[in-house]
Parts: sequence; structure tokens; C-alpha cells
Amino acid sequence: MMKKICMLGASAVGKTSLVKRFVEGIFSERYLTTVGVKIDKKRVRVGDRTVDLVLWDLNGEDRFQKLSMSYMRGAAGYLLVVDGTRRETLDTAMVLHHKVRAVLGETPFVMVFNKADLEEDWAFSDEDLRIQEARGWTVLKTSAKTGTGVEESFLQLSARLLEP
Amino acid sequence: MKRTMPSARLQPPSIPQSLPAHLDVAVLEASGGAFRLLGKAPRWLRTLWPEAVAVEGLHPEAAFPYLEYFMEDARAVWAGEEGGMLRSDPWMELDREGREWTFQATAMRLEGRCLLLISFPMTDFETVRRLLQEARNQGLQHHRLLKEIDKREVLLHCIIHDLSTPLAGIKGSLILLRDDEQVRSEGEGLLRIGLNQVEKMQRLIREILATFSAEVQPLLPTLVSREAAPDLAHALREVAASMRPVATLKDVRLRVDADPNAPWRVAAEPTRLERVLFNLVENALRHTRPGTEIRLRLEDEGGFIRASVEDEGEGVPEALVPSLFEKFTQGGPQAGKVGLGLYFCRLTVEDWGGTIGYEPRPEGGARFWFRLPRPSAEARGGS
Repeated sequence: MMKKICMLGASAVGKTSLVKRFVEGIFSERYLTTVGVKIDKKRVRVGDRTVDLVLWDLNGEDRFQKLSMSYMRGAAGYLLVVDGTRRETLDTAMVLHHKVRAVLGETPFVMVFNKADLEEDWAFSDEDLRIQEARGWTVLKTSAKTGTGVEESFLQLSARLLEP
Repeated sequence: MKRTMPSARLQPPSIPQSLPAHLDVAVLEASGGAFRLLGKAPRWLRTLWPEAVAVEGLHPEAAFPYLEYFMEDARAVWAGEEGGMLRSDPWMELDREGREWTFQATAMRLEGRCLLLISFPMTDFETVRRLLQEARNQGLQHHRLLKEIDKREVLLHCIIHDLSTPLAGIKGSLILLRDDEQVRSEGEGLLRIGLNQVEKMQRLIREILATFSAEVQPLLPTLVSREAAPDLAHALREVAASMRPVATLKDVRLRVDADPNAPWRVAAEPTRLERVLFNLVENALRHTRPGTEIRLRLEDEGGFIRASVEDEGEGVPEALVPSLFEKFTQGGPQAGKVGLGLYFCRLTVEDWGGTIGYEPRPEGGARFWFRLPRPSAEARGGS
């Protein structure tokens, strides 16, 4: 079974690093911006089922580049990525989430607050995360650098994709 | 005798089979729901998609998932007019060894044939990427600097305030002593030296402020002219308007409750006043729950105006209340701030001769308030 998953979020929140950590198990400190789309694949097991994830790592949205919503066509779900050290990236994530919902309707997603290793610069309270959870969303803290929460985020999203 | 080229007459001119390979372009033609490769395959295609040269009835979207997305728009071109063309955005693929390849696809309808070309980007992809990279790096750096400046500026306020207040006390005591008739003449000399030193330090503080931040000057005792006195209701509405998009995204309503016909001028500096209001509203937004309301209210207290920001969150834990307006007090282990916001509010409001406080709302939630004096000519009773 093949499922398309999109990575959404502001620029430099760590979408590409999350994919790299998940697919290849590695992390690079070097920030290399994504232009357009980067496609990767990973086979995962969810219970007794196998899912081939096709990961669409989309360019981040900012003043330089807008995200084309047509990339979302055929997506089974998405990972909404927030940079835990920059509060404004939550606003971008919320805007993208609303845009996606307008295009695809209700679609499974998981919200992640990335860069959890940067405790000194962390800009969100636990209450902030609880506010998102109170909407019934799955919210996780991740670190592409240490690997914390990365596998879990993708697997939770995969499980949501298989829900009847 | 005239020589002719018989093959040129007998056969229509054709393109060399190896041309696509030389141009590094894979040329595919749609045929009966699948595709077939035209001409010789470029080397990269043999690396990334070896089946393409061995199998008939190709499905390129299976090898390049991006094409599944592109094909939907491409079909419209193939079903359209002769000469129609559509070029995709660049996209990236990884080969089995993890090497990154960037491609661009082109859909064309030529002589009734439906063609799909896969090639390296026509645009200078690397230049675009380098420019974007540079712009985003600078954006990140700018963000880091702003954060750092903000932190330093608030710290500067705190340090200046901590120095200025006791200095004013020392100066006052020295003046009282100087005026004391019982002080001997040698003592008077020492007091003069002391006073000179205090005034020197005050000048130094002003110079530091002037050098590092023109903005923080209002922290020193300020005399606000009636004409320059800002309208608190206007400031409240401005802050509410600027915070409304974020509040909406958090599903929180912002309500301003102030009589539009009443005079709401206060003795304050406009920029700092907005920052105080911003801090209080942002604080409420951080701690309230979705689906609730934040109420911004003004009340006339004679010579003073009282502004309050009320939310319907969980309120401030009792243990935190006594130190709420002290520096480095946070609402939790990771409240998202260095704990100087409310401290800054207290310093600013007190420097304008006002007071600031917190009280829990009887209905639940928090109420932060501050009182500021009206400019003297507008005072309606009270002190």
C-alpha cells in the first residue's frame, strides 16, 4: 500500500532534516534550503500491515516562496512542522493547515514542534502544546538532531492513514 | 552530371536517435495509457530507471512519483491544441546511493503526438537555490539578532532601573544631609563630593541610554506634555487589532471595552505604552484556552485610568503571584519567555507614576491591570 505524505511548515523549521532522520537515520547541522519538492520513500510497518510512504518534502513558506497547494493533490496525510524556537512559525503552520483543509477537506495530520534539543531557545510553553492538543490534534515534540519523537511522529501519522 | 542524395528524397528527415542522450533528455511518448521511450536513453535514466530501456509500456510516475502530480496537468496539454506545452517546477529525487538529482518535466503536444520530456532544469536551478539559501540564512540570522537585541534591551532596562532607583535615594539623602545645619564644614565638603559623584553617575546612565537605546529614555522620570499624552483607548485598539490574527488562529476573541466618547489620555510615552499593552495581551493569549474571550477594559478612576486585560485561562498559580512582576519569573519551566515581560511592564508603569497588579477573576481566569495618571489638565479629581 502506497501513501503520499507531505511535509508542511515555514522555511527552516527542519522538514528536510526530519525526513533525513526518519529515512536515513542521519542529521546534518548544515542548513540547505529546499526549492520545489524533494521526494523520498520509506517502508514502514503499522501493526501487521506494510505501508510504503512517499514523502513529499515541500519548500517552506515564507516571503520568498509560496507553497503551491496543488502539490497536496493525492496526499493521504501531512506532517505540520513548527520550529520550537520561533513562535511565528506556529502562525505559518496554522495558515498552511487552514489552506490544506480548504483544498483537501479533513485529512489526517500530525503537528510536530521540532528542534526540541534547543532547550535554551525554546519559545513555547507546555500550555501552548496543550492548546493544540485540546483541538483533538496529535502534537509531538521532535528533534531531528537527536531523533527524539521523529519515528513516533511518522508512525503515528501512518497509523492515522490506515484508520477506517 | 548532377548528383543527388537518394535517401534524402526517399525518406523524410528524421532526428538522430542518439540526440536525446546527448542532450541528457529522456523523451517519452504517451501511447495507449502507457509510455514508450523515443531515441537513445540518457545515461542518468539508465541509472535511475533501468527498466525504461528494457521494458515496453512504461509508467514513469512509478519511477518518479512527482510525475503523478504533474501528469494531471499534462493530460490537459495532451488533450489540447497542437503546440501546447507545460513545464513543471524543478523537483529532486535520490538514487539508490543517496545522490541527489534535480529534474524538470515538460509535457508537449507536437504533430498530434503526446510527449513527455524529463531533463535537468532549464532554469538556473542552482542560482535560484543559492539566492534563496542566502536570503533565508540572512532571515534566520536577522531573527536571532532581533531576539538577542530584545533580550539585551530589556536587561538594559532592568539594570538601569536597578541603578537609578537607589541612586536617586542616595542623592536625596545627601541633599537632606547637606541642608542639615549640624553638619560641620569638613562634612559639607565630603557631601559635595558625594553629590557630585552621584550626579556624575546619573549623567553616565543617561549617556549609556542615549548611546544604546533612544527608546529606553522614558524609563527615566518623564514629564509628558498634555499634547503628547497618548490615548489609552486608541493604543488598546491598535494592539488588539495587531494581535487579532494570532488570536483568531488560536480561536480566541479579543474584545475592547472602552467608551469611545470619554477622554482616555494618560501621562505616558506612546511606544512604551503599546509595548506594555502588547506584553499583557500576549501573556493572556499564551495562557488562555481556545474558544474563550480576552477582554480589554478601561475604567475612569478620576485622576487615573485603569486598564485591565482579562482572560479565561487557568489563572496564575498562587505560589507565583508574589513574584509575578519580578524579573525572570516564568509561568512554568518552559513558559516561552525569559521572564522579563511583566517586570518590564512594572518598571515602565511605575516610572510614569502608575501602579500595576494582578488578581484572579472570581469567574476563573486572570486579570492583569495597571493604573496611569491622566495628564494634569485632564485630571478630573483624584491625585
